[in-house]
Amino acid sequence: MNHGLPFRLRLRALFLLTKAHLLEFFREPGILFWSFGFPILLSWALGMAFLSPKQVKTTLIVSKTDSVAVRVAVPDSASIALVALEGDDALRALRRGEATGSISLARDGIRLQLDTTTQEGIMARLLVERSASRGLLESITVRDPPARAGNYADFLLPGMLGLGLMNGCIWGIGFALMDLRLRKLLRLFASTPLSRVDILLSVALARATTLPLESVCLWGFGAIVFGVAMHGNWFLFVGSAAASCVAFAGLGILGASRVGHMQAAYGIVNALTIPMTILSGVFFSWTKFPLWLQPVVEYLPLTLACDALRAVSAEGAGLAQVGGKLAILMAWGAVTGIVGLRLFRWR
Amino acid sequence: MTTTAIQTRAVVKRYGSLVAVGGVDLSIAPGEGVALLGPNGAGKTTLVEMIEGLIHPDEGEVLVEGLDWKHHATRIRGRLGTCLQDAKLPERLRVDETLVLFSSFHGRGKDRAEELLELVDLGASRKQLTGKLSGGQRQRLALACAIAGGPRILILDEPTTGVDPAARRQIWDILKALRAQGATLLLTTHFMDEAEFLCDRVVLLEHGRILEQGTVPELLERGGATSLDDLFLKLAGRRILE
Ligand SMILES: Nc1ncnc2c1ncn2[C@@H]1O[C@H](COP(=O)(O)OP(=O)(O)OP(=O)(O)O)[C@@H](O)[C@H]1O
Ligand SMILES: [Mg+2]
Repeated sequence: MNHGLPFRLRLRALFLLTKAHLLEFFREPGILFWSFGFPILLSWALGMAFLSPKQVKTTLIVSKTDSVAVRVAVPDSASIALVALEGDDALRALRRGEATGSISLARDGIRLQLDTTTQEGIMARLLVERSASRGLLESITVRDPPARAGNYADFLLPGMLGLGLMNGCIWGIGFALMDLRLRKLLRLFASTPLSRVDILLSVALARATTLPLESVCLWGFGAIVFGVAMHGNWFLFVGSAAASCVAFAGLGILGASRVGHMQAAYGIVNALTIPMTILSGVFFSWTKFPLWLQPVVEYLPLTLACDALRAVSAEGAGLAQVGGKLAILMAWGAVTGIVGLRLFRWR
Repeated sequence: MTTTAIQTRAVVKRYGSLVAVGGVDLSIAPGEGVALLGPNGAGKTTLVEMIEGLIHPDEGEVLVEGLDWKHHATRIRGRLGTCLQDAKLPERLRVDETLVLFSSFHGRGKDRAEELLELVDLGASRKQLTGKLSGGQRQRLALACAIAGGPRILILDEPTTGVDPAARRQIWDILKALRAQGATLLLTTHFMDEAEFLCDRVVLLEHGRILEQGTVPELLERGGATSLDDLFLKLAGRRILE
């Protein structure tokens, strides 16, 4: 019915159209900077800002009950800040790198919980030793912290990757479709024997070629410059990225479905990307937003994407932990994609 | 056997309260050349795009070689070559890449692209980006894309608008040659000489309806006019009086 051409020729046409999108993409002035250079530059600038080695101030957590006694033994100073946190709050502060470790008083002296394999941990220990009251010095004990102190690059890089995938799909599929429609190319292609499914597929395939390249460049940069490591399973990580792309591609198609003016095209893309860029915890944890906002933020596609990627890469989470998020991402993609295709205008 | 290449039966297209095409019956025989003329907004593009299956008529039906769009879209597309009004081509593709691409849509290979390059005389510009072509070159390229599949029926919406006289002549020669090979041609134009040179029959459209049709001399004689503009003014005036 729909297949005008024999399968082999149909594949060839699909391949050539995908290649045409790629040629147009790479010949666009500035595209290499915006899709490859800019995310790397931004990660570098942010990473540097938060990883400054000159920083000799350490933040340690004390329990609220211990707070007064610890402050007597180890006074707050220019180099040591003490924050009183309990339970989950304390763990979260450690994971986000807001605190280097925790400090408490035991019968025999000061007890530090620090990761002394990191530069920050060693520094914190030295600072405590320097400022602690004499009598307590002999008995400092160091234990592993209850949570790994994550550094900012570990947090940032998966977020930047999620952001790149979102922009890649919403600009690269959504905006690209609107652009094809406004240049009347969508209609021109549709007036040939080429099937409409193949026209849409070619746009998605072009993105499926460039996004892995962009992602590998970004991740490679983070791994080399900031030493960001993969603590989880690579397959699950790539799977999470793919599920994220499904969600963003669906959103892109829905956004592109009816737009007929350039102004509206930019408006829609910005309306889709900017709020999530701000809210979804790319640069800092979304749990800092007011409580009433959090239930909404939590289920935004970019939040789910960043959280899933970060859980796998930084915390070594498995399918059991991120499976739910991946399922919701795919549901996002399926619902928005199907509605978008139903509404889709070819002219 | 089909006896018509293109047939529309009382096709209507409305945009809100505006009737863009208000019931047009048009029948074009295989091998015939028909020019659609009419002022801006007459409904030429709308009519032509309904025939091309790009717009669904609100009423009436369109048959191409006896096939209807609803059931035979792909078969019809394989037989039609279309050039859309102010069609853009992918700007950052080169001329030869564009022709290879459009040939592939019709299941044709690189050799077809070479043939087309020769036919529309763009060999010297084969490595140019299409966005950098002159208006006339771009129209010739668009025409080459339209005929990539070797269509039996050509539908061209203002194929020579914005083209200098020499380039127009080149396009005419290509179209004339295709007609000589038996292609059916439906074109919209604002130029009487184009209609006269390329087509057997002229159809005058206004406000979405056929006003008059016939050969150019027939129409001028019937309307007692000396030019297309003159004829339009006369016909419009007569309608108002009625
Ligand atoms: N998508 C649309 N939405 C609303 N109105 C439309 C649309 N397309 C066309 N029209 C209207 O329908 C009428 C016929 O337009 P059409 O483009 O068919 O005219 P035309 O004869 O091709 O004119 P031109 O010589 O300028 O190309 C015009 O009044 C136009 O404004
Ligand atoms: Mg028109």
